[in-house]
Amino acid sequence: MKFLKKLLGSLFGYLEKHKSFDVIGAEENISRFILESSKYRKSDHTVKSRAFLPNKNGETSVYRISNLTEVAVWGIGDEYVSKNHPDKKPILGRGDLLASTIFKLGLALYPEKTVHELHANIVDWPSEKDEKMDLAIELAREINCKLILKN
Amino acid sequence: MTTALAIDQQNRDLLFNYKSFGNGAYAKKVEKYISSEKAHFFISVTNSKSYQLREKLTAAISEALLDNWDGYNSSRVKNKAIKVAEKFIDLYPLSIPLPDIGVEPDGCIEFEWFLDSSRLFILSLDENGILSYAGRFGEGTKIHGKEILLNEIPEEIIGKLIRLFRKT
Repeated sequence: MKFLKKLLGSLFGYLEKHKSFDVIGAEENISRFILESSKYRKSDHTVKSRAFLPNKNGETSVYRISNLTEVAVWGIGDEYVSKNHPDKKPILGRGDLLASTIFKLGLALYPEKTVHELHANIVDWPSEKDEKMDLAIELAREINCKLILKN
Repeated sequence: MTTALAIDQQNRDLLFNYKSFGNGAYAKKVEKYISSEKAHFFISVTNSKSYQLREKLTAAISEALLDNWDGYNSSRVKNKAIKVAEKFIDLYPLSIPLPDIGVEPDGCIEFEWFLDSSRLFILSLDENGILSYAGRFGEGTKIHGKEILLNEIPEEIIGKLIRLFRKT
């Protein structure tokens, strides 16, 4: 019993330290910042599916933007996405969607706060490329995922 | 008298490297004719779908020459994938509208045919000639799969593109 208490104490201490209780809710608004004109269609301002495909680490970088003002959202894009780009490319726009859209597709969304408190990654992508593409199409088709141009 | 000169893609070097060894009027006339055909050939090539696709491919590649090209830790475009894309362009059927071309975060090259959000077809070409695809042909119709690019574009892919554009 004493051992069990100690074990649980260590476990809760670890979880508290790593803030793993910070679970992203289905109702949260998520945003993907766009820096390349090749990732959206100029004709109708829709985001192309390739904008959501994961990088070589199997992650799609996004930000949690619920309850933030527009100015604050664009500020994150400028300070933490644009400035991290090797050429410091300006933010062209962003695609917003609900976290529930991501979860419904069987993907996961985990906080990753190294860069910023509200940074997260879409993970658990399938290993097959065609399946990834299929899911990326669904993300891009999300009705709210119309590109919001930055001025 | 009307003269016709037919030059196919494989024999175009013959046209470009043609040099007359004759000095007579007829030889000069042939050389002049060949020169004018060269000009026509260039006009034809620059207007062709193949040329336009190569221009789109070059633009896409130029954006992704280095790792982390998009600031999201993406891989640079794969050289062998470029070769596969060039081969695909060489085999591209004239009857099908031109796609958009871009580079994906894993360094593969993507061709996208887009009508609207429920009618689109996306093809990803990797360094091994694997063609991964995903598409939508109207509400409720979704497909994805893989083919391999050998000496011709797989019928499966052509069929899906025809299906996409037949719906319009």
